[in-house]
Amino acid sequence: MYDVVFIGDLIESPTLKSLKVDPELLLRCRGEIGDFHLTYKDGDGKVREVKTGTIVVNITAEREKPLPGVLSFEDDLPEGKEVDCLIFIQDYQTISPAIMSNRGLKMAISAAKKFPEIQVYYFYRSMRFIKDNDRLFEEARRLGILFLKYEKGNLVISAAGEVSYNREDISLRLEGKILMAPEIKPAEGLERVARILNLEMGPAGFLQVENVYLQSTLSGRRGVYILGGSRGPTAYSNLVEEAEYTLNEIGFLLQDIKPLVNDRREVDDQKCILCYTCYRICPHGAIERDEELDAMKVLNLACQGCNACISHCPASAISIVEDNNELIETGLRVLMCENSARTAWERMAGKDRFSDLKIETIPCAGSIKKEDIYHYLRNSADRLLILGCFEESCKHLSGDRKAYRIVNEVNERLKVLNLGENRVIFKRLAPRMEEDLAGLLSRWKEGNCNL
Amino acid sequence: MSKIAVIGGGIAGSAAAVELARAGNQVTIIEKENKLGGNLKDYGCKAVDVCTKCNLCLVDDLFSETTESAGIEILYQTRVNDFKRNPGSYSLGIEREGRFQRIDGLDYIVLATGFTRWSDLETGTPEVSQDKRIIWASELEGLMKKRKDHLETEDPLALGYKPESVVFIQCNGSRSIQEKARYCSRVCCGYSYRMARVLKYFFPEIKITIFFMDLQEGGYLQDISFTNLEEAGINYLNCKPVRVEGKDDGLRIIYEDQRKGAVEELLTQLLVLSEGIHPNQDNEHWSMLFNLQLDDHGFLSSIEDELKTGIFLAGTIKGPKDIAATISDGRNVAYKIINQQKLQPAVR
Amino acid sequence: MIVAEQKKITEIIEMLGDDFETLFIVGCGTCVTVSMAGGGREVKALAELLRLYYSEQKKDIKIETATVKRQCDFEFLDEIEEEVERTDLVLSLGCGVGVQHLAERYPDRVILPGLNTSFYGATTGVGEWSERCIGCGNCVLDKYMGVCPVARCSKGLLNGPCGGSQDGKCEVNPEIDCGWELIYNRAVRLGKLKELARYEPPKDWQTYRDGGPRKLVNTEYFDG
Repeated sequence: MYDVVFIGDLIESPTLKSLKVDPELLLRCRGEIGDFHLTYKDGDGKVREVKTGTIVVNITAEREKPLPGVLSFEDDLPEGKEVDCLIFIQDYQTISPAIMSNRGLKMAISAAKKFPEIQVYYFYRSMRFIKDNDRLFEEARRLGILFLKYEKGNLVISAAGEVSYNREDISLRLEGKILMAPEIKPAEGLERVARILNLEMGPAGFLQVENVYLQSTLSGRRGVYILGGSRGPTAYSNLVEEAEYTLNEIGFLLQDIKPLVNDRREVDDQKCILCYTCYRICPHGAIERDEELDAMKVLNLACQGCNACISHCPASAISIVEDNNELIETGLRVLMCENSARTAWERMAGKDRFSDLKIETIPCAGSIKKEDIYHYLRNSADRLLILGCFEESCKHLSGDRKAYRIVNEVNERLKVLNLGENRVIFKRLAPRMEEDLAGLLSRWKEGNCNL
Repeated sequence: MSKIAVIGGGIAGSAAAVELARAGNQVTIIEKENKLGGNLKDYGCKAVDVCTKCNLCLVDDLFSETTESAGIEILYQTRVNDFKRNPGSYSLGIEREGRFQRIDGLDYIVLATGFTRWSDLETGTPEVSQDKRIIWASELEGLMKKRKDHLETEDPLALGYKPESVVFIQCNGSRSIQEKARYCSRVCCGYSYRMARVLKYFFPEIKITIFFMDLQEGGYLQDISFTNLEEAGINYLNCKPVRVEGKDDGLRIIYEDQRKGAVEELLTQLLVLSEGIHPNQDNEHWSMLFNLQLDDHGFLSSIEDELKTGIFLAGTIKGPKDIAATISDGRNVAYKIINQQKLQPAVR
Repeated sequence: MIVAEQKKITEIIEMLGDDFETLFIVGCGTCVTVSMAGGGREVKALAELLRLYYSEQKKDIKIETATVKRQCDFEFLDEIEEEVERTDLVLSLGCGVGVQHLAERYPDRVILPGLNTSFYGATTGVGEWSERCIGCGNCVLDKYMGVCPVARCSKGLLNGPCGGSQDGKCEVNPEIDCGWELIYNRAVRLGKLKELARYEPPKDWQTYRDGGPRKLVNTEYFDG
């Protein structure tokens, strides 16, 4: 039993028992935090299974030179002889991440020290500051490195490698060795690793999902962490701190892994038809197939209680143990996501203005079921307001989008049946929007649908 | 189980306290104000049609956990003015409602007193107090909150007038030798960018311009680029203005256009100054009390191994950090302590 | 599996008509559950929507529901005999096979279809299915690198693409991948491009619908 398996590069830890698995050799992942079962091929091509408490994806990102024939900030310094000048360029296609400012400054400084007779130019659009970049930037300027800020258009690199820089007051034509900040691209095979670990992909092919809760190195799946180049270009900025933090968090977590939710979600193995819908929609990778029962099962330590599996199971096979699903009340109901609107409600003054509303807390807006919504709307005066999170700030990653789709679907049907428009409204809110909440609740109460 | 004092009930202190208490420790937070939250008590959500990852949601969870945790005692309006090493434990002298007390038997101390806002330093930038059209970013927070009652009026920001344009100036109080802050505070670019997006979202007719010296990364998730700014309809100028002149029809901002290499000017009715992260004014006091290193800028670092001394620094007391990094840092301190407790009980 | 989608709610209501007081909605727990059209959840949701509709129409309609494992086997249909017998109308959320099998099992009852049966397909995304087979009765996948030209080329061409595809997309609809491009790409990948050069004679369609409704007998089991 390992404490942590690194998919990609291993980071030494004095206290954690660790193993490194080559991403290409990873075959399968089952289980949950505290008890992951990883299957992989070892060096001899033999298939092995190991158990581990946690997984860290730490695959170095690919580097791509922005132009052919140039050196990168991560190459070795060129020989100084026969070079007129050294030309450092960052931010060529997009603004380079801060780690590249760091690499570039260090390299420019060592160049200026090694070849004091050669002029070093440093072209940039935006110097980015992490670690000791402030100090490096000062030192570099003191060493006589010429820093020139450019905008798109005033720096041109010809096919022959000549750099020209033109502003109204400065005009330079330089021939020398060009060193550029490389573009950081996702490693090949990252998507495959994501599929095996059942992780959502983020933008541009990296694993950092655009979600405020997935910080700093968390993935949607409990016990699976994403570090450095697997996350994206800016993830290199605090890599050392993040690695230390993550390993300390793992050490802490493994001491005593408690479930995050009290009620177990259970799959009725007689109803489950193994359609894998739950497996695919669970934002936390908390569902897998129970091979003995030949039905899906919810992993109790991995589950974060959003109930998306319950609301989306086409066979209605998943439920909360002792779920009291009695929906009798009618009138004006407000369902509030416990992570956003409910917090705003707690902070809101003057709740008694809304004593006629039936306020309910739900674990996630994505947990609403269309059958329940129809059930709620029992007489023509019934209306329903569902309050969830802003996009990319849902604790369950996509609950807001799920709710949005469900509500649209319901409203479309109500509309064609002339059962009224806007009887069900989904609205996004943040925890610190208590004043917005008060405003929209009063408007909605009055029958105003333009919230 | 250990007895632990956390000095400062901001993000880092609360993050550390919650984890320490969760592991069964007895934690006392010593907070000088009458409320938890430190520097961002009054900040508002920066969501537009999507979340812009200002990270405030993370903080709200944190503070409610802190106040609800059974293992955490919070002493408000309390200051620490003495520290003693007793055999086997530490003792802090505190001042509360004019009375002096001691907290004895401490195994660990977490110092998390955060940073000072540039606007609280009352130095430099005299224009701010003279011209009402020049405000600090934190004051814009207040105006944004008031917008709710003014959305459809001629005075959307409750300023007394409707600005045609709003200008943000970055690096005000950072990266300047005169202002005694030669470093980049890192968080202000992202902050102004989010603020500008919120303004643009609610008042698309207002022209927004941001002056940057260098555009920083916007935190873990929100990398800001010039393209992002263009897409959001925010004008940017890659320089720091030379001068601001107050005129009747607005503020005249004189700047050097980097692209043209020429001096230009811009007229605006509202100027928002970013606030850098400055060392806590008490840092010297802490450095003497706990034998800590003050760096060139005035931030603190430990001289000895924190695991040996049992005195930990957490959060922006060590230097600029954004919200998420500060939470991580606070938790990291807690994890270090808890992981050490597993190996051996603390003996001071 | 068989992929189906629910009929429009207005169509269902029109189909049900006015002449009933009790309705029994029967789901099917196999293919159409996977394609999210007629499983337990859809049955429940449709029942709730109809209840809401009829209550606002001030009609007193009693709706019962059940989801059987498979509507295409009599044993499962036996389980719902009581409900079928006591209700005026039965609405099947099974595929076309299920509806007919119900009708066969309960010759005296009106059985209505709640779904449109679409095709044989695979799950290609959450909530997305794509056609992969037309059930021609004479599989040729061995000759086409595992990509069926009959099902996946809009024109069912057996000897190469039509010439109308562009950037890998079909001229019939740019949303559709050109089946022949897929065949070609796989052949390249498998190093079997040469095999595609051979001529394929016209297909014998007698095994398909052209021989009339089909029946299949497994002599090992069949005791006819």
